[in-house]
Amino acid sequence: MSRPSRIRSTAPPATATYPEGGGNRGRTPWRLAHFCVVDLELSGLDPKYDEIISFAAVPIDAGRVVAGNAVYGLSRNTRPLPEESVLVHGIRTVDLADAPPLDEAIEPLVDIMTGRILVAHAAWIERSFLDPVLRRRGVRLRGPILDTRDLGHLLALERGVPSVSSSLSELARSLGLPVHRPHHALGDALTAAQVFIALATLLDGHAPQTVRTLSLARRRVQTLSVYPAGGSPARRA
Amino acid sequence: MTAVPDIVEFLVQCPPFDAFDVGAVERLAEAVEVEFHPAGATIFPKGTEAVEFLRVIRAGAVEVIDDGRVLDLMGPGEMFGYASLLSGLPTDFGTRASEDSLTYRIPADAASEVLAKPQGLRYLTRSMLEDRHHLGSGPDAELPRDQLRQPVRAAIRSAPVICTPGTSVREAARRLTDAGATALVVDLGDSVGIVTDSDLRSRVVGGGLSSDSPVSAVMTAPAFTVPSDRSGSEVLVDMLDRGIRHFPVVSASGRVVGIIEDHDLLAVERSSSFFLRRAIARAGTIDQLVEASSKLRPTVIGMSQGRVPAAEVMSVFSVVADALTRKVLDLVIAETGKPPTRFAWLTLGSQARREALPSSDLDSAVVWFDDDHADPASIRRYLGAVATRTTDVLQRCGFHPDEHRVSAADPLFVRSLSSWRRSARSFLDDPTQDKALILVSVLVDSRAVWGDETEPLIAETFRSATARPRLLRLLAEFALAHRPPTGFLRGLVVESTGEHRRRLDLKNGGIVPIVDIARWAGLASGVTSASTVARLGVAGASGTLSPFDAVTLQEAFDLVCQLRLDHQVAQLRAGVEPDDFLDPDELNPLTRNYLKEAFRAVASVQRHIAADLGLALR
Repeated sequence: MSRPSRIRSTAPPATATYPEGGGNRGRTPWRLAHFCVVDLELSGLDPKYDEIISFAAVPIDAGRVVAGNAVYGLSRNTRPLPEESVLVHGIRTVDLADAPPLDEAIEPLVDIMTGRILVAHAAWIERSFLDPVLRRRGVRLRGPILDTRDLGHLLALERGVPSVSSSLSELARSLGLPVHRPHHALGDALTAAQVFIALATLLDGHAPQTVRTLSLARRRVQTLSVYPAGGSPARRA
Repeated sequence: MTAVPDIVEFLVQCPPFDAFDVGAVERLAEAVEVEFHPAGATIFPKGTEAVEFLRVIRAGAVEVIDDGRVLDLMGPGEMFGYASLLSGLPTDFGTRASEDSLTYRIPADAASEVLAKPQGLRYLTRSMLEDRHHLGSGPDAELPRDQLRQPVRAAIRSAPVICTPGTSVREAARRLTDAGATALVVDLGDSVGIVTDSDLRSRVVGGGLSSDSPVSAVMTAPAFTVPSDRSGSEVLVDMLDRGIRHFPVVSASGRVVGIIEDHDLLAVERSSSFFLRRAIARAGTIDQLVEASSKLRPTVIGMSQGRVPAAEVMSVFSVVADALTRKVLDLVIAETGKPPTRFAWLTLGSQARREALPSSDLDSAVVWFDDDHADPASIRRYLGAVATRTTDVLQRCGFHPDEHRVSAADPLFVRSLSSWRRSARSFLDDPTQDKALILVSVLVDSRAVWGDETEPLIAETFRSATARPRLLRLLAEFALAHRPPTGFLRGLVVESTGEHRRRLDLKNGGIVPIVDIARWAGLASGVTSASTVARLGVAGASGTLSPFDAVTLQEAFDLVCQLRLDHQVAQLRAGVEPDDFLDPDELNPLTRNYLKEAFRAVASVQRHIAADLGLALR
């Protein structure tokens, strides 16, 4: 299994600008690691055609969401925004007219991600859209992005209860947590960050969680789904 | 740093942040860190150190716990940790998530910036007044909460001590001590000056000024005064702005009606006693009064946990007991009917000296004024009924009548003024008569708490005792009869038999010998009704006791009172009826040594007195 995702430079000069965050190794207990919860608002779901129009990131240190250091931004679209996407996130072309182009707008996001383990809800979307942007900057993501959706499924399995739906809002509600502005990058990033610390804390109550165990959530969900009885020694009857 | 709009939107709905402009809340939101606490997790433990964060509950529920007991349950929008954060004192309760909870954690710096504003202070003071963390919630909900929105005159605790510019520093200090005040007002005609006890300490004791100097040499004048209708919060802000802790409060007509101190407005421990006194004042029925007085013991526990010195706890306890007695009498008289004569209710003993604690008996007596030409038999009948009912209600409120039946419920202690004066004079003429000394001791420690308090009452009769060397000599003998429980080289003397075997009797062994010496020495110096510490102060200043012995006794008294308080608070917390019997093994070795030293010092003062007066020690 590869190490959890953080930004790595592919070229030596860039490496210097992205120093390795301390304490993020696999065996690091999760509370000692540094995370960054990312959410993107998109013009659509096809990475080849659609683009990032809004992004937000919220850092987590020592198991706490450092809300004041959150980053949020808009980036100017290069193609017309499909009407159905405007209905989802409410961002119109006119709202983006003054926003910088993506490669420039993304700067603060890259800064805050640096040295941190990435977390997202349904992380494959973030991954597939962030990868090309970062690649253009000579940077690439290594390893998986921790996924709150997988962690939610895992907790449900550990507790022996049925999983809630895959939506972030449903997951937050099932944990008794607030749902911030949905389909607003900063709202969703905050919701996801709170969901993440809750899930990590609750999973920690079943078995100590490290960066590595959290990154293996998806695999563990699959194992437990196939072999529910022997899957987890800590699992409740 | 940026503030997340969702966090700002949440905070602006929560008191006290709803009273702030959005800019201030945004700065607060920037500092927010979001924490998750699983059900059952401790958020902070009780009393290890001061908390460094203010917390606001975003989702879930948090329990306030004290020794495993849940005192309160807080929900979204409520905040906690502020009292410890602002005072820098350890928390007097712990907190625990009662369900999975999300909290906003705000560091002290960012939180104090907001909380120190008037709106924040007002909220905090209100919350502290509610004081649910000590007293629990319930019927309290109907009580007024906004002390700081009230005019400042509502927070004045006693009439001001006022003197002229020519008053000597010594006299000023004596009056300050007698009144239990920390500042006095100097009347300058068209303005006022102020002298605080710390002025006296630094400018006289430290500054080498003679105690014969006039107070005008040490006062601050003109003093910054506040109008009595100004709100508590505005006054508090003025105090903070000017760095002044005492303000004379001036009525509309320009008269000084009291001195307000920052403690009066802010401190938790005081606030809870304010709260209690208000609850007592508002009680309309005896049942409500009994209910309100059930908060007195928790208040004592709270003060003790807040590290309030024992002397202050005793005076707060006594002030509340006075207020309670007054209210009981009001209600009982309303029940019984109009009194056939003017009368006064006297409180005696430790309560009169303002040294009562939960274990103390409540001694009382009644004096009626026989100049009204009413029928003495019907007066006795009426007063007997009122006194019996009053002592019964006080007992329901947790105040037990004196075990030796020095109580207004006994007809012997319900008398006309002329009868009391006759008895007092006869005690003076022949102190050897049965119980004369005990009765004199009790009556010297008497204070009218209800009724016409301006009449010179019984205690005043003893002022002439200066001219009665025989009485004083007998009082001194009486004072030397109680020896502290220590041998010359032995350890502490404990009870050898009975229920309290191997226990140290802190009251009879520690308190009584000092109180008795102070009563004699005070009376010999012309002071009748006063606290033990005040009497010793005057006795030391007047030469009845050497200044060294006076201070020694004051310190010993402080120590024993503190141990008594600690012991009783531990008993109250364990749900045991408080008493004065301490197991010496429970003391740490250092305290045990201090206590032994204190007892030896008291014994040594007794030897000095015996030698001076040519009396024999038992």
